[in-house]
Amino acid sequence: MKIRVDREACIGAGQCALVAGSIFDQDDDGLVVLLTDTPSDEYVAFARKAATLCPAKAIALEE
Amino acid sequence: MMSVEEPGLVIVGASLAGLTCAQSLRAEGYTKKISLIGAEKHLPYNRPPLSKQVLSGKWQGSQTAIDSLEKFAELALEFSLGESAIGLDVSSKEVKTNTRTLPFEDLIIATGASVRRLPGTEGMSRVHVLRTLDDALELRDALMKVKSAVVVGAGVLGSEVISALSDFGIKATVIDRMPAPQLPLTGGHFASRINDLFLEHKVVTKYGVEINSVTEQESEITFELSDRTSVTGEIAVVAIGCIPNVDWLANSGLDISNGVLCNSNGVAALHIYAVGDVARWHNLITKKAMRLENQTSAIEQGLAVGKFIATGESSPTNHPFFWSEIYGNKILMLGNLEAGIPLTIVHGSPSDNRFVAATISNGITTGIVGWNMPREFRQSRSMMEA
Repeated sequence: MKIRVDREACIGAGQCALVAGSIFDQDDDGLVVLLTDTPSDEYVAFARKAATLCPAKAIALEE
Repeated sequence: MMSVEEPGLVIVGASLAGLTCAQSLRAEGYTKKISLIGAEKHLPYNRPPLSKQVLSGKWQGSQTAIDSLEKFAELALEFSLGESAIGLDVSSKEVKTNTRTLPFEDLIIATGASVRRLPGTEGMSRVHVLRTLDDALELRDALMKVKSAVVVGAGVLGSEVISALSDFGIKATVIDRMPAPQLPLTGGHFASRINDLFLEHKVVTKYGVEINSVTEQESEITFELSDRTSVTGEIAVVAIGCIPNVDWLANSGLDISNGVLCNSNGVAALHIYAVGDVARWHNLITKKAMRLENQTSAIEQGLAVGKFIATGESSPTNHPFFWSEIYGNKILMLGNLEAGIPLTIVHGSPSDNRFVAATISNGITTGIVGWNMPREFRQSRSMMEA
């Protein structure tokens, strides 16, 4: 899986960092920071959850 | 294997809530047929950017698409756009649309809400609303041509529009029958802060007034107000809320007063569910039935109903969440700020224009707001779980 984030769309809600803190963080403005764009298999489900819950739909997954 | 005759599941409404149901059903292992019908011609799109990135011109309309056609294909849906439901027969388990009769085993109502129009402005070309992608694109085009505008409604959408007008250098006047700007779920705590932003940007404010009449002239539009003044602009933007799309359910026997009444699992009746802006779920936290018009509720309700139908399991009730950006200020709101209780500042300082604040009553945190402090807002969310 490959993760892409759109920092133009990100609103800094922090849902991604809340449910998948090993993949997503927030910078000083709260915008999404990707810690890894290729999560290992055991984290793929968390990445999916983050993408679904993102209120700005700023996370795209390529499976 | 599914048989051709098997009615399967029907989702009426192909916006975020309905689509999230379909995704959730498949993710939870639902293998029967799913039919998704949508009244709009566009592929499902996100609404929040309409009043933000689309209106400002930062995004093309197509950038609001929720997913690509390939992603929809993976869900194996029977997908029909430009089709609208016109009736529901609960006993025979059939939905009538403008083109056919669809039998169902389970039905999910996700028809959303329609913009509320200002009476007396029907057919006026200078009056805009902002609900659909087409509305947003039309309004954006209009904003490029005008120097003045009147905004009716100082709620969250109206405030976002006013903020966009300033970006375009357009002189704005705002009218509201309430005495101050209103953000939802904030208990009035942000009325003066929003008003200060308006005044700082030379917005003319007319609060606590009713509109007596609206007249469209050749190059402008005039509102006569109950305080015997009038305001004029080249265009008007009406942002006075939405009405749930329940007309097609009028003879169904469901309780549709202010949306489809559901229990805390989204069940409206046996085998019938409702999600998103059209739904009024019983909320286990507030112990009230609440119709929430925000994107996060649409997603969470879609996930919950998909899981409930596929597995029979309930999902936890969440606090409502919304965000806004007004004059560049990023506002995040979780729960419900109580009116009449002073705000407790958790991080930062209001005088620095960066803070996280909460209302705490009897030791329980009922709402948290982040103002230009997204990361600290996230860190403070745990206060709500106590």
